[in-house]
Amino acid sequence: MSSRRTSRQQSSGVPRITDDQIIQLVSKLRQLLPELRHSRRSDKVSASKVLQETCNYIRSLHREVEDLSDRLSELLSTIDADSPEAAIIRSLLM
Amino acid sequence: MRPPTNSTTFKREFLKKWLLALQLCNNHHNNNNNNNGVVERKNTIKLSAEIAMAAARNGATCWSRALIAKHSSSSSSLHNQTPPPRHSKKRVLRCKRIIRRSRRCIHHGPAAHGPAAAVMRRKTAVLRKLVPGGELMGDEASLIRETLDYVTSLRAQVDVMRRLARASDRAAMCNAMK
Repeated sequence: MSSRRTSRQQSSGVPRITDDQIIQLVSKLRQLLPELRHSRRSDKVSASKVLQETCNYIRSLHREVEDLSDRLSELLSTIDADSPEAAIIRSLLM
Repeated sequence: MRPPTNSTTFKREFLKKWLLALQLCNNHHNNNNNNNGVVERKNTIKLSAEIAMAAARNGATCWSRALIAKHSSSSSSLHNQTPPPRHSKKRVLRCKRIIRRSRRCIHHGPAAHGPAAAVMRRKTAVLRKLVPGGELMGDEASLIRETLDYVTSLRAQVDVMRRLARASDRAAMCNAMK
């Protein structure tokens, strides 16, 4: 790590993280977010906006899991092992 | 933290573990002759999906270990199918206390005060609550790395669930048309 700052470290042993590392990670996070991925002004999105969008995205993914669980609870309850539906599910494993 | 192998492998692992978990829950309920309501079935599906997603990561990330530790005390029938949690609940609580204490002592850089830094800290705190085990991650970089992995895994989970729902929909339609 070439740019590691040599600052005072506490006895907890938590290493100092460079700003560059954080910037890199934040940009990777940005790639994942549907809202910000297509933003043209590539350097202008602040880190706090990325964090905000990440929280929103995680919440919306949780909501989607809820809705899908609702749907699936109605659909899957009627499946028994020998039906063609079960064969479809088995084929999804391939 | 090992990066995920690739999305398809992860999805396959997740689906296998999830269907296995669902089967286990199904057998468990059939044996007890429970007439489960839709709500209980939905919770089973959601819970087993969450555990399967964490298990498919094979203990390589903090968030997956935290999820399994969270659930391993409550669901005994699923316990045998998941890798043993590396941290018991007591250790998890102890880690949280230590990290909270050490965070107070951390020397922040010159830009760590002022309104912008306060905003960052607030957002980071929110993120910590959303990502499982987020409060155990001492530094911001680990938190962001775990977040990246968690979001990718969540997306894979949603994708698999969506496909299953679509397939079941189609199957139900074919059945209805017979």
